[in-house]
Amino acid sequence: MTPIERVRRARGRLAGAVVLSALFWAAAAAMAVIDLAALVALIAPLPPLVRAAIIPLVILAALAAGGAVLWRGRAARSVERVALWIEEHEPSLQYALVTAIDPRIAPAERHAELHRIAEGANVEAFVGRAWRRTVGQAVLVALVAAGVLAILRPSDLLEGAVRGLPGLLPGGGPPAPMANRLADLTARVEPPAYARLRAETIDEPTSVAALIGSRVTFTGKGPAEGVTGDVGKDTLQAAAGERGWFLRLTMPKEPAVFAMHDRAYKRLVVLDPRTDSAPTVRLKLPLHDTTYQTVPKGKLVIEAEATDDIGLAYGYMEYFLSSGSEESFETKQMTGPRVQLGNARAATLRAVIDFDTLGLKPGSVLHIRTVAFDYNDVTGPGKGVSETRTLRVAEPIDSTSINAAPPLPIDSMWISQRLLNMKTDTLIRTKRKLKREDFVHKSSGYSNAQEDIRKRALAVVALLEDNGVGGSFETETSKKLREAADLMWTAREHLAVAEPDTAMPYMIKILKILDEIRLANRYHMRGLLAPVAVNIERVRLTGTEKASTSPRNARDALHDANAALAARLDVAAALAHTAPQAALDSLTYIRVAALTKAPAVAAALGEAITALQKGMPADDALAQARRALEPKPRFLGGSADWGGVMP
Amino acid sequence: MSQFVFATAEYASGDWESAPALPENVIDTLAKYTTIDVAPVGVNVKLSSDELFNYPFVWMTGHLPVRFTDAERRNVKRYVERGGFLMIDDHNHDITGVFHKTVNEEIERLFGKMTRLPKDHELYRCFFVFEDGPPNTHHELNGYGDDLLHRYLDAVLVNGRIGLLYSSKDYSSEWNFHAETKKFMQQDPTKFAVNLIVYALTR
Repeated sequence: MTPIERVRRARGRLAGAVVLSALFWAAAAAMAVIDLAALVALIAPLPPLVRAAIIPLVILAALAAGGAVLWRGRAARSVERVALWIEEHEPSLQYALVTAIDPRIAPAERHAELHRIAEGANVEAFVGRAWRRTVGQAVLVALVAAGVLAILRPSDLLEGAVRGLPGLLPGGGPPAPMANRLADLTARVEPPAYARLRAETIDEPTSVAALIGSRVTFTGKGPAEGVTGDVGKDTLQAAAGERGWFLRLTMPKEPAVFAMHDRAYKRLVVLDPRTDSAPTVRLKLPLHDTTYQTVPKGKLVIEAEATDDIGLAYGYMEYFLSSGSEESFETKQMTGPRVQLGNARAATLRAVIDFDTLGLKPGSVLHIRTVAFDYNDVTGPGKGVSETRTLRVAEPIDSTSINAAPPLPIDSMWISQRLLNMKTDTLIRTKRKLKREDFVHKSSGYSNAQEDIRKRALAVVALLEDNGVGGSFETETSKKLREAADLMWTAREHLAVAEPDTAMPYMIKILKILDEIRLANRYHMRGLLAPVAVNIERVRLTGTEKASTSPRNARDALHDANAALAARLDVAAALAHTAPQAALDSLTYIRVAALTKAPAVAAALGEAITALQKGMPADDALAQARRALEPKPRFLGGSADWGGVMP
Repeated sequence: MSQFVFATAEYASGDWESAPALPENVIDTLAKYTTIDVAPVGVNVKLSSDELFNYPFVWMTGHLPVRFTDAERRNVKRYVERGGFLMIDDHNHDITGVFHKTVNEEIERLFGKMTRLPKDHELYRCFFVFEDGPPNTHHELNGYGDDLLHRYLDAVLVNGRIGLLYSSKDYSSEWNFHAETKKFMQQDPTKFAVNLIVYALTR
């Protein structure tokens, strides 16, 4: 092989190394750019412009790296330069090779020695080493970049970069063929922190039901530019997220339609806010309002049940103590210690109050109620209060100036019975000293007295059992009093036939029952007095002061919400077959209007909307919604051959 | 047309029966000045009962704290929203008193903040004319209670109509006397009651 042939061969191998290493360096540079973008995206989402610029940057980096390598290795194109490069690495040649490759200067026949030296050079060895070094370095760098790429896996980033690429072209704006970015929609609902509920994801939502204050994030594919959402008067601009665009809002207090727009595309989602109900509190003890005939002593147990749909925070007892009468009252408000309820859904609150420490006196009124709060820090806190129990301490004035019903005559009845028992006891003990006729006469008189007490007892029974509207109901007190009245009848019979010793056990029992009733708490019997009647005919138009007439403003007709909804529903239903998308939009808005006022209609409309979205007939659901808007049939009563029911 | 029956609200807490002579007096006044077919006897109606809805005008008063039960609260809301007229008068005539505080708390809970009625409101002109708004009571003029002259009444308006009227003027004391006593008075202090009822029945 002549020197020129050997140099040409070396040139080919070196040029190949340059080209190969240029390719690997270009690939390494491209991957490095993607690696860098992916690393930055891990820290913070990349702005859309940067995402769109990734591909051009990758190409530029690859071209620059490859170009630089080619430029550096451009000497490999020239035979002379390659020969000089060999001479540089093999100084012992003494430029024999450079001279030998030019036949015009040193033809072989004239410079045989020179050619022999040139042919003896070990060119292949260091050309091979240079080839391996050059290509090996490039391959190594490319492998490192590829390794990083494999770890980061930035496929979403690259998808976004490719989708955003047309936006960078002159003329800008999303290209016409871009798909509907609202088509593939997901909603993620994150309830407010206080609720401690898990977040949930809804695919292809038509309606999102969530607690007021929940964070709702709608996510779709594609770039964020141009995607907007309207809720009420507010317009939200989509932001770029990991998987495309997202719109984030807070669940409003009132139902609303969230209308998302992407160019000519529109998608409606109903926002169905769920209210966090305030706690429900029920006072279990004391069970009834009570009027104490004397100032009560001892302790009173108060017990209440509290429930909440999410969780209870704390609760306490609240007391109002009023003392005084007529126009002069003093009132103290007191609250018991706050009881932490630890987010329980149901809890029992219990307290014991000592009457002795309250300073009760005749005329005092004690109001008791229980208050509970939930953790709602968005629209609350929700406060629930129990009904109020009123404990009164009677005072004499009750029966004359204010209280319609006289106090129960149990006390006087008890005294009468006690006296009668004492007299009867004396009669029994003095029986032997008395004449028969005197004994019988006295016993007969006591029989009459016993009958008198019995009648009073029955009158009180009637008063106690009167429910005020012509009916009656038995009370604990009336039951006992009726039992006493029965015993009185028996005692009276025995006394009438002069058998006081037989009557006595009954009379002792009667006194015991009356004593029990007297000492027991009694129901407050207010408002049973018949109001005073006015003689209308006597006073009619006798007034002397003059009135003046003024124009009367007629009362506005009440707004019939159902009729308005029905009219809108009729129009939307008519569109269901001819323009289903328009019908769908209308029904969505009608559903929002119905959510608070007509939940049954809203539920039926929800079914209709789902059916229309799936391209199925919605007639049944629409008919159900329409029926729910009609007034309920009204029973007219009377004779009606056809049944008496009008729509 | 059915007969008008004056109804006094009976509620579980407080002293609802604190003005026992007022119904008789108002009925007497209504008969004296109008041809309204009025029942000679008033009724007490439980706020928790559905009977409440039989009466277009209901008078409520008291001195003590008012805490509605759930049933009372539910009924009062429905009653006012469905066209009833609930007149609540503070028998303490004291805006720092417990009746005022607790009733206002209940009203605000049910209906939100009340509206102050202007002095030229239809209520003051629908029968007798009260140029200066709600007539003052002797209790106000004598400095009892909070020692204030309450110039306005507050109301819950439903579609522009008064559904609930709240007064700190203590008409419950002013009108709580035997109707016969009126013949000894130069001015009839109960005339405003006619306006209340005429408004409730005709507006």
